[in-house]
Parts: sequence; structure tokens; C-alpha cells
Amino acid sequence: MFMRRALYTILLITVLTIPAALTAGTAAASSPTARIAAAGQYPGAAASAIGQSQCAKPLAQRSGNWLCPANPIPASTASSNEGYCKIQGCWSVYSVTKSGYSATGYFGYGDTQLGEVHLYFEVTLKGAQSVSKPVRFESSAAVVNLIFEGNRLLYTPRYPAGIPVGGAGNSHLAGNIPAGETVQWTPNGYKAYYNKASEQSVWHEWSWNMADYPGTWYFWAKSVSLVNVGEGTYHFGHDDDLGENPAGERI
Amino acid sequence: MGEQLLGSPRPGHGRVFVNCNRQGEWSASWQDDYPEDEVRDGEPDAGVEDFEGTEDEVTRWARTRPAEKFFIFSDEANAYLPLEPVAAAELPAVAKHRQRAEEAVQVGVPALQGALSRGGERHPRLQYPGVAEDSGNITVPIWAT
Repeated sequence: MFMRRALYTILLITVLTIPAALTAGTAAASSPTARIAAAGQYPGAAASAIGQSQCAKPLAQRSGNWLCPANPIPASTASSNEGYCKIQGCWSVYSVTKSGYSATGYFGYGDTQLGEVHLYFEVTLKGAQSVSKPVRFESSAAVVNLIFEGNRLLYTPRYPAGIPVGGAGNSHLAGNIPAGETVQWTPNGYKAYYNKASEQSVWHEWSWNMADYPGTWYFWAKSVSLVNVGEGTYHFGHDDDLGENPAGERI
Repeated sequence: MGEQLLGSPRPGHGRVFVNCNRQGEWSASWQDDYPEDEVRDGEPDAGVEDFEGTEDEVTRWARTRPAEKFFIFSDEANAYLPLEPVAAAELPAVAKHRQRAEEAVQVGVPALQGALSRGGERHPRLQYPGVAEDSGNITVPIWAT
């Protein structure tokens, strides 16, 4: 009798714990479906405050998910080949129709640094159409549920940080990415057409989960501003023509 | 969330833009903004048709669209220039380049003044990146004429 009861107990524990262990990695993270459904939820100008407060702390005092951009700022912007750089990344204008953004950052959970990420996108303009290709991601640690998002933002005096253009947002689930592998928004990146605002930008966000940690890491950046030069044609300005709060993280 | 809701360009309308990105990939886009009084709620307000391929394929596609205006981006001029019709495209490459450069340079001050006087929404910080002063001449992108 005792042996039978012990056997039932072991079976019960096994039934209860195995599925929980199997799903721990993904259950802890928000589902990619939910994130895609929420895509286009442009975080706005105040979004970077939480992550930045974490980055100001020593590693041992950090808590939860954090992502800290760490881009070297050239001593002289005039001598830089990188374009215009801030701690959040570098913006370059290659011609009036071609511009790029690149950033490096470190992400972690609590007092543990989990990896380094390299983020990049390039936008080519044709008339009022923007084509973001490539939109890239690379991490030193394997990530799961990587999602690329894109939208056009329009700037007005009331919205100097920009507001999303309705109906122009899109996203791409890139999935699980091995450490060190560079992936991009396939097959053709992000494309949008909008000509109803004199000054705009293209916004991108990267978000991902880690198999053994809860929560989601997010980082977003806006392109150099594009302005209407007439006849429905948009051009990039200078590499420092950025909307308010041009890049940041949110947790 | 998905592809943007856009219609098809109307024959006889719109502009075709040809450009090559920094990865060397050629593409073209035919864009037609519908008249506002013809657009109902929930319907697309513009028609856009895109094409990607080799330079030859893209320029051939662009030239055969029944659009109103045709442009190709020139990295040298840092501006959109007119895309020649097929007959002119048969000219040798050097002659084509010279012809485009002359078109871009000789438009001159009156064209710039005309473009500015037409008004429209332009950002005050815009320096007309395609405009460059050179020996008294002003180079303006051809789309500004």
C-alpha cells in the first residue's frame, strides 16, 4: 500500500513538473504573437526613461530587463566618418535619398549582462516611398522571438518626437536567432508610402526574448528626418536632422 | 497589421522613380496620388506599384509604365534626373551622362524661383540638398522645374 502511494506521488509530481519545465523559457517571455498584435505601439518621447535609469546604475544594482546603448561619440563630429553619433547610435546621410542608422548596446537581466547587440537599418527614398533594407540584428547571445517593426512617423510642432502614421506600420517575426548570426528583415525589409506631412521619419524597433529569462528587450530608433521638397518627393536633410528623442529602449 | 493599403496607379498619372540602394539593388516605384474628392473613407488614397530587378530590368519596367513623369536618381548629381525615353537610352553611356549633367545644370535660377514660388509644404530647414552653387549657376534637380 505504501509503495503504491509513493508511486502515485512520484507520477503526480512528474506530470506536474515536466510541462512546466519545458515551457519555462517561453512562458516567462511575452509571446511574439502578442507583441506583433501590439506592434506599432510607438512608445513616444518618454519611453527611454526606465532603461536609462538602469544604465546609470552599476551592474550589481540593476534589476529586471535592461538594455544600454554604448556607442562611442567621436571627439569631433567634423572628422567622423560615422556620421552624427550620440550614445544611442550613429546616423549617416549618404545622399539625399539614402540614410542609415547603426547602434551597439548591451543587454541583461538584473546583475547579469547577457549579451551585446548590433542594430542597423538603411532607408532608401523613392518619391514619397521609404524602403528600409536592410534592417539588421546581431547578438552575441542566442535570442528567441526576434521581431522587427517599422512605421513612418510624422512630425508636427505639437508632436516634435513624432506620431505614427496610421496604417503604415508593419512587423516581421524573425524567430529564434543563434549567437553571432546576423539576420535581417526578409525578404524585402519594410516599405511605406506617405506624403501628407512635410517632415517625417522612419521608425524601427527590435524586440526579443531570452530562453531562460523573463520579459522582453526593446530598442527603437528613428531615421534622419525626411522632408517634402515638392512634387511628392522627400529628401533626407543632414545627419543631425533628428526628431526629438531619436532612439531609446523600453522595458 | 500588414502591408499598407494602397491601390493601383492610374494610367496617364503619377511619377515613376528609379533608384539603386547602397547594396546595389535596383528598384522602381510608380506612385499616383488620387484626387482627394475621389477618395472615400477606408479606401486607399494613392496607388503604388513597385518593381525590383537588375538595372536593365528596372529601367525597362519603369519606361514602359503608362505614367506621367519618369525619374532616375543620380548619385553624382545627388538628385533625381529625368529618365530618358527608350530612344535616348540607346545613346552611348558617356553621352547620356553628359546630357543628364547638362540638364541638371542648365535649369538655372528661373526654375528654382519657379519651384519656390509654387509654394507647397517645405521644411524651413531644408537647404535643397540637390541645389549647389557653381560658378554663378545654380543646379537644381529636374523635378523642381
